[in-house]
Amino acid sequence: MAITLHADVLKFATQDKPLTELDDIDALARTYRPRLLRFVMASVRDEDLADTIVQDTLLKAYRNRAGFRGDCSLNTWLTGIAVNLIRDHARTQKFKFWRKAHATAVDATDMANHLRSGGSSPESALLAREQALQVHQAMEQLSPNQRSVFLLRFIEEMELSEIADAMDMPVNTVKTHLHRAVKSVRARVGNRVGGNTL
Amino acid sequence: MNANPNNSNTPLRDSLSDEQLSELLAVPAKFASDETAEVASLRAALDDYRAEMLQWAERRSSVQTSLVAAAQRSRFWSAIPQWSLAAVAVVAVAAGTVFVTGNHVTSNPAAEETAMTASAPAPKADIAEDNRLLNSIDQELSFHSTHTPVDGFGLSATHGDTKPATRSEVTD
Repeated sequence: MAITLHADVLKFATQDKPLTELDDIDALARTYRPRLLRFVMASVRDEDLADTIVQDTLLKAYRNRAGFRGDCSLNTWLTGIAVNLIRDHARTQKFKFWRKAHATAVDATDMANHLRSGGSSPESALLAREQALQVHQAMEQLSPNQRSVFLLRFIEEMELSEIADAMDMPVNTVKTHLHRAVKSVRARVGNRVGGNTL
Repeated sequence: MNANPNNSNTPLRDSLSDEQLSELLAVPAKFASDETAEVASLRAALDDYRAEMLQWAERRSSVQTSLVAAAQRSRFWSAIPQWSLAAVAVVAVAAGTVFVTGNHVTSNPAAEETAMTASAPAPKADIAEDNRLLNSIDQELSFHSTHTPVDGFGLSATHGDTKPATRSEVTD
């Protein structure tokens, strides 16, 4: 039996895959590392652990780049990897150690050292820093899922469907976590922000 | 948008549900022309937090080293388990084969030879030769049993139990 292959099929089979954003890991890091680091740092609240998780996220994405089918945005895909790594770390004793270390060492005062406001005046800079700290402290009391959803929604400004993809949970579950998180943050920040009694 | 129609300057905390507040916060500020002080304050706090954290992350990211080497290293290490698994499998199969084959070669012929040796009748000449050899061994042992290694140096006085007469008898 003779087998004939169409020229177009041969061409398709032999041509190299086009280079994507995922093929250059340094370019990937330049583009996405700051946003990932912001989200991971706000989630785990430890600089070294955040660095490690973000690096692992980028390396994992690079290694598994063939598996990215473009069903969601690259940012959502990367965020999903980061969320899973945070969950993995949360399950290990290592993370428990870091969490204990954080409870005693990395508090709002340390965070204040990181937050240097670029405000136009010292007063506005101070106010902005205070408000940022209050948000940071308010999120301390949230559960991991509530904190992740809250951060992804209001800090990373992702849509609910994107958060559902990244966290691998139904949209309704995302809404539930979000509403509980808002309720908690509202109770803590709402009474202090701007000196208003709300 | 104002949830408190009675007094726009003093919005009540209970005027918005958590769901409403959540939805309002997600709307960009430019589209929320008229919002309560609570929403505005929370939005400002979140905006500040977002901006401050991004500045921190950008500063920290700017001093990070290239990930190319780490990517190559991780690719190398991720390949190692495949090689090691293959190597372990080959070694296990080879060792198992040698063990089974070796047992078959060394045990069965040896058993056969042992059985043959045990069952074959010994010639009388061989038996007589073996007896002579055993007798000579017995004689040697009985001779040496009364002598010590130091006897050759003529230090018989050190052995009180050894009789000189016996020695002279042997030497005569």
